Amino acid sequence: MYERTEDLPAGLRQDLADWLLTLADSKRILGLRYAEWSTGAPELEADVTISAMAQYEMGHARLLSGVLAKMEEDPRTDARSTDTVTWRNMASLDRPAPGWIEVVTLNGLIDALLTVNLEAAMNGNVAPVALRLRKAVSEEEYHTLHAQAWFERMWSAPPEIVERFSEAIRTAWTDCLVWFGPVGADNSLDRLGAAGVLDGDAEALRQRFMSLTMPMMQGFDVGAIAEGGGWVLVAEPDLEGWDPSSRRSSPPDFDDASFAMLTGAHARAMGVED
Amino acid sequence: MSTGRQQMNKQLYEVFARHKREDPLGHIGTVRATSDAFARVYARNTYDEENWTELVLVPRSAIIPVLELELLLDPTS
Repeated sequence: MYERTEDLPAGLRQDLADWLLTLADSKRILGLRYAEWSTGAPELEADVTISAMAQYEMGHARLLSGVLAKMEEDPRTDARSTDTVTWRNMASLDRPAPGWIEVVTLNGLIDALLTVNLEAAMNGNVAPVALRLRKAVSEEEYHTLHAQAWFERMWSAPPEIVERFSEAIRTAWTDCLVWFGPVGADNSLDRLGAAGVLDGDAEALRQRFMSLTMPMMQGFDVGAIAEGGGWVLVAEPDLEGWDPSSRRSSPPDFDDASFAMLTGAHARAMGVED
Repeated sequence: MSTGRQQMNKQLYEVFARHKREDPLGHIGTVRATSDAFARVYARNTYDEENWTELVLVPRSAIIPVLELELLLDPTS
């Protein structure tokens, strides 16, 4: 067990810092996307739940950022307040969810991918990360249950809802596969897995993600086939332009309002600093 | 009163919880949900302000009345 992140070899420290930032940024913006629906869910109980989930996501982001802030390899610079390229969230989070269907999709797929990663680090050998993540992982259990319940409800909805839901799933699913990156090639998840920082490599994490999400698909074809106790992709994702630091194929494409919210620009305009 | 929200096939669940193992299970509220799965998630998130050691749900329909509450108001009003 590494008691401090400084004890890791230099290359792994950078891999860990990059991994922490992709998760922290994704969780922060996932929290924002949930919060945007805190009074707009289809039922009052879902309002309460999505609000709570937003707080948990932002809390997890803060926790991950706290570890990152103590590392010399922290990739964040002051440019983050003006330069969208320096953000490393998953692409599905760039824009607000246009409807509850898309919120459910974020919950079922993006949130699941992040949870798989948190679990891998919780079972890893970097103490400052592993010990802090236990509570976060336990909190995610109910996010998964929420997604499972809503997926089931969506699949029994009228055809036009199912069609839109299917489209949202295809988009988010592709984003998730892109995030995992090249399997069996140069991939920091493989290095982090081999060193025990995560308790699995890129393929192991991708398998866990599919094991968690495929049962929710109820037969919907996303291009994954059950085989030998695992899942086999019909085709690997298109990774042209894939950047190993951000784990995405193109820079963030935030709308102005989202970026202003993330950077605190609205607050600064009112004379309030961070 | 209509909330303007979906009310489809919702069932009422009574929520019970206890702080310590030796505490009695006490009634803390209700949730409305379309399935047991939703009820679990909604109860967890609605009543998570306190550090419960146990939190359980019972569908109102599963409760067997012994002495029934007399209605003070006309239920149709």
